[in-house]
Amino acid sequence: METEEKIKPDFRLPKESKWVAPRAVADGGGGTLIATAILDVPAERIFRALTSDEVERWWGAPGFYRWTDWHADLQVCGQWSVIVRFTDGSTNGGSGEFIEIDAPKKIVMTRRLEKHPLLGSRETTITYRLDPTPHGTRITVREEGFAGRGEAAYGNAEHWERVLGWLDTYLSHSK
Amino acid sequence: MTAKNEAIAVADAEQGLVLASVEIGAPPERVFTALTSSEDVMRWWGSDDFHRTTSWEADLRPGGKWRSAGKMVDGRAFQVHGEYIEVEPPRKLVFTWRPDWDAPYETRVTYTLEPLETGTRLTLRHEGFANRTAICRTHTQGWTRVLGWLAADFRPAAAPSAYFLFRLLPPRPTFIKDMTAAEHEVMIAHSQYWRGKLADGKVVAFGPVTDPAGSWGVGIMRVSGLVEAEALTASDPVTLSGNGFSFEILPMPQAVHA
Repeated sequence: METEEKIKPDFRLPKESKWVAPRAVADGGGGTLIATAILDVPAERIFRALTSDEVERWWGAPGFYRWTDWHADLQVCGQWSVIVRFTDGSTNGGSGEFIEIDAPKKIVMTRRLEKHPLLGSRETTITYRLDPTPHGTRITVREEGFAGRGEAAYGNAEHWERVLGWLDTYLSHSK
Repeated sequence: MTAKNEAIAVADAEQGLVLASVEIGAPPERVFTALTSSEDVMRWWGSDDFHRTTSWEADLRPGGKWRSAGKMVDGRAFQVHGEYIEVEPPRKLVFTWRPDWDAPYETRVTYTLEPLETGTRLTLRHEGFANRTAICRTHTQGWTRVLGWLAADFRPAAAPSAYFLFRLLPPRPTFIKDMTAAEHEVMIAHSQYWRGKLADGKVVAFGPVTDPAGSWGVGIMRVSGLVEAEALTASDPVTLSGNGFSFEILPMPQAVHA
């Protein structure tokens, strides 16, 4: 295993790559997932893309769905909602509440979809962290509340890699 | 999308949590044994490029102690030890983790093994690094490598060649023109290093690229997989120098070669 600062330089570790593909890992048993990516824009830019109606421009893709009708009362205990429109015309409602807001570094919010194939209508808690790095802003997403629904955690982890990819593509074309 | 048979690890450094996973082409019973038996751990935990495990003892029962010792590529020795908390073969193993390089801290590791049609999904949860971001991140990179070694141990020996393009980004755009004497020495060592890899057949071609925006280096590696590609760039003198170079490694899934 790797050592900390006191043995430097740690020759066993590659330097952090400039570009890191979005990655996510779920712990089905523990009911948690973590997804991360490095995005080459300031944290303020990402914060805005996550919390304003800009989500309608990037959250989704042809063949999947689109997020539309975004509403958010961006304050602690404020509500947010969205309509998920699938390619086949069907829709799903998503909503939740902001628990903690520390712009532009942190957002904690609940999320519940009316019908999720693996999650039913279970509410999860999502924490976004935005940290500066030498190569851009690291976004860390932690989603919790999957206890007993391990498959939903694995499914959502895979989907977060996709979502962070959409966000990366959008931000890199809208600088 | 991350290929599932490739080990990945991610961290929520604020919470001090690392999650890692890999899919292994063997049933949970065999993976559990590989994680706990001395004979297995000594074989797969390590590589010649990084470090080797030199001893492994495990009293595999709740409350039982485990201890591992290893030697890094430059000869420095290190130890990790801890205690088993939950032992439920072949599905779950929980133990404490006390590395000598992180004394006096104790953290906790949980392995979960789930059967899949194709083998086993191994999930690792390492918690207890709250407010210690650096050690949390080094463990994240470490577990990527360790789970990669484990998965590789279950793959057929003759792995087919994989091709990767790497870009070496210098610490500043003007580097090629204004490198210091010390940096120049590092670049000479870097060139010699890759000439050696060329002779070994690990790299097909490499060299600097003239770019109006600032020169950088490129190479094409022919290796067993991403783990070896990352190991090669990690051992490059420019990486060891800690001078702010960074590598990008990108797969070439349909490489055509002579």
